[in-house]
Amino acid sequence: MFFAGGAGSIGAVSDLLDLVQESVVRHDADGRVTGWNAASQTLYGHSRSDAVGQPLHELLKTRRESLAGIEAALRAHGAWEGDVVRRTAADVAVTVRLKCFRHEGGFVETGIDVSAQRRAEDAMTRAEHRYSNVFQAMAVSFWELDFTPVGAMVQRLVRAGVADLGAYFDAHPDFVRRMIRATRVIDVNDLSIGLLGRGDKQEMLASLEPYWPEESQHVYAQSVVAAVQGRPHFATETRLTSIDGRVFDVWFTACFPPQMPARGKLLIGIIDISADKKAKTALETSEQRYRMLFHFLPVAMVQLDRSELAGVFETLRAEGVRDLKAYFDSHPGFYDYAANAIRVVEVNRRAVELFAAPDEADLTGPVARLWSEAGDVIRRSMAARFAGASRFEAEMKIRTFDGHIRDVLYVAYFPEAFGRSALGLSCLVDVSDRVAAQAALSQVQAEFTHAARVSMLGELTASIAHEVNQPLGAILTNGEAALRWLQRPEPDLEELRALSTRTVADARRAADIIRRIRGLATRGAPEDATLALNGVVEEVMLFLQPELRRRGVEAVLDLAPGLPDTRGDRVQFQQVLANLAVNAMQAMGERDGRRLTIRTALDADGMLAAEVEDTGPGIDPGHRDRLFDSFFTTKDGGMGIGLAICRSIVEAHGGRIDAVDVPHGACFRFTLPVARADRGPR
Amino acid sequence: MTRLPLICIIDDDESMRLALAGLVRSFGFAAQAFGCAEDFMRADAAPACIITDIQMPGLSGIGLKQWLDRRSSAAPVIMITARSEPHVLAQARASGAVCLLKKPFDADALLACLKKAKVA
Repeated sequence: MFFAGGAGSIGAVSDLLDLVQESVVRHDADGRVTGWNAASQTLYGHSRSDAVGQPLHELLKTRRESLAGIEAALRAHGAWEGDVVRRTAADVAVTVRLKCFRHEGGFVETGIDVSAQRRAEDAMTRAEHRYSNVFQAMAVSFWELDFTPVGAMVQRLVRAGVADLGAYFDAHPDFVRRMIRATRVIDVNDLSIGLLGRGDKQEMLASLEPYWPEESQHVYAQSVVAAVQGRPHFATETRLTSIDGRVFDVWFTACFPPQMPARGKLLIGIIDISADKKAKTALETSEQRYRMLFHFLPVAMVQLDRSELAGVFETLRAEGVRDLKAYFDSHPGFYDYAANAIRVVEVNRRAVELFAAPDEADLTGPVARLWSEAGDVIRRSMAARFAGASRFEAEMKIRTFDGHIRDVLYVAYFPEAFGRSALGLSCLVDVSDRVAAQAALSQVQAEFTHAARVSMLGELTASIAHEVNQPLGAILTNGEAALRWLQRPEPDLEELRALSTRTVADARRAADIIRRIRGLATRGAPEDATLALNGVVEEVMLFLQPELRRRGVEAVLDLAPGLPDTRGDRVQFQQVLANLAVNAMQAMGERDGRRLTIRTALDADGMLAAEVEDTGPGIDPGHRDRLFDSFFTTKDGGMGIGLAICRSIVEAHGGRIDAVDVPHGACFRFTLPVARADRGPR
Repeated sequence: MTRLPLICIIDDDESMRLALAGLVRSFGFAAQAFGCAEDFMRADAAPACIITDIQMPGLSGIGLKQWLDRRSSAAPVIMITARSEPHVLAQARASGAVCLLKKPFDADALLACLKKAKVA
């Protein structure tokens, strides 16, 4: 064989070996090189003379991890095959595919350079790895499709002479549908299962048809045309259907890498753009929607351009102005300027109706014109904006174009979205009806309260008549006595003077009584005055004294000294006390030990409290819950409004009224808030 | 100087009380006024006639008449009242008063009562 024989033969063999493409190296049992062909020189860069006699593995820096394996294999089997990495004379790494075997007391190895192949293989591995990562990890639905049957269908068409595939597909939607049906899904990534499937991958490895709605057929046709035309990819926006019928917008990409169509495979990527699509649609429609809302909301809306004033506000702020209200006060012309600097730029239909304006255009311009009846509301609105508020709300009046005054709820928005302060939006809600209803309601309430008072006076008629009759009777008697004295031959002037003095005093007393009754009987607007509760009790006692006397009721006053004042309507408080007292007197009837106690105190909650207690039969427990209900009465001929009115009066003043448990008789207790020291009379 | 007959007036209403006293004096009698029956009873007066209100704090005019009856007082009693409830009027009449006057009354009516009481 090549290495056998003497020197001559070695030379001949060596020459022969030099013709071999592979590196052939012989080494002895110690690993020293004994033979080195030309290919070895080419591969490793070492000349034969340099190499021969050198330890092979040291010379070529054969990777250590390979060495042990090679040597063990050679010892055991006499042969080894595999790749090793070595370094050339120029210190370049080469991957060599070796075949080693024992030969005549030494070893022979053949080697070929597989570096390029390995690099290609590594690259392939990396690419595959990358691909599989991308396939799973990207937020793209990837589909690997087998369109071998489709390829065959298209080829048949081409062979049949169809030149323009696109036109053919357009004309034959059924053919396209058949192609889609014939397209098989080989693999999908996880995202696809979530996006178009329903959790089961196997279920999806079938025809492409379920995912391809008719409306998107042309996209499939176009991608086939693109593939046939040899384009590397085809992408478009289209709509696909999930396996359970949900239609959504996708970005569809088909890739035709050169070798894939050859293998009948195709990769498509699908990106769900429904959210994008929605956002885009939303953006496009939001302006439209805003316009719709603005114009058709059943609330009058006014869009304002505040840019000029915004600049002025900035300047004022820079100058250190913090309180615009105070600035208005110290600069009398500023409000007029400001109200003319804000301009109405747009109004909606309801605003036109509200103002009874002939046309939208009549409402645009400086706001000063529209807010002529606003009082200080617009001033306050501006101050609120100046102070950084994003919203302001108040009731005000407007004058309509046909001359009416209407009550409106004015709401001003200064949305940040509208920019720092350039635009404002104001809503006007017509509350005229509500205001009118409220006025009517308080009118009714006032009438009811008055009616209750008159009704209570009616129950006191006897004692009122008595009370008035006393001074009148005395006046009459005095007058007659005076006349008799005058008829005497010598009138007693002293007696006459005394009579006249008493007559005047009695007339005054009668007038006082009348005035007290008239105070209760007439109806005036409720007052809001600072009142001493004890004073009110004493006034009521004056009024009730005749009735108490008439009924033989002992009155006990237990008034806490030094109570703070309350606020409210004197007559209404008198009414509450008188009503409770009259009820108490009536409840006691002719029972023995008739006693009426009125107490005042400051309670634990800091409220003024008054109690009216009697020694009557007490309150029937079954009636307790309904005592203060309107039209609830236990009295013959009673209207049942007394206590209801008492409650409405007390509650309107911020207090409460209740029946309190006492061992004998009944006790009603009401509270009133203490007047705040910082509030003067209005 | 002959002593004028004494008329005692009992009424809790001061105006009325003073007015009656003045009127009685203008008739030519002596008058003494009391604010309540108890005051009169304590005064131990010897009137020719008593004019009393019916409804008063403490003893009423009717109670006073009963007290006078128990004392066998011969003094005639004229009752006056501002009340018009029938039971009050009936009680007054039953009590033995010579006269019952409803306030307000005129001077002649009182004078007629005093005549009926045989004072005038």
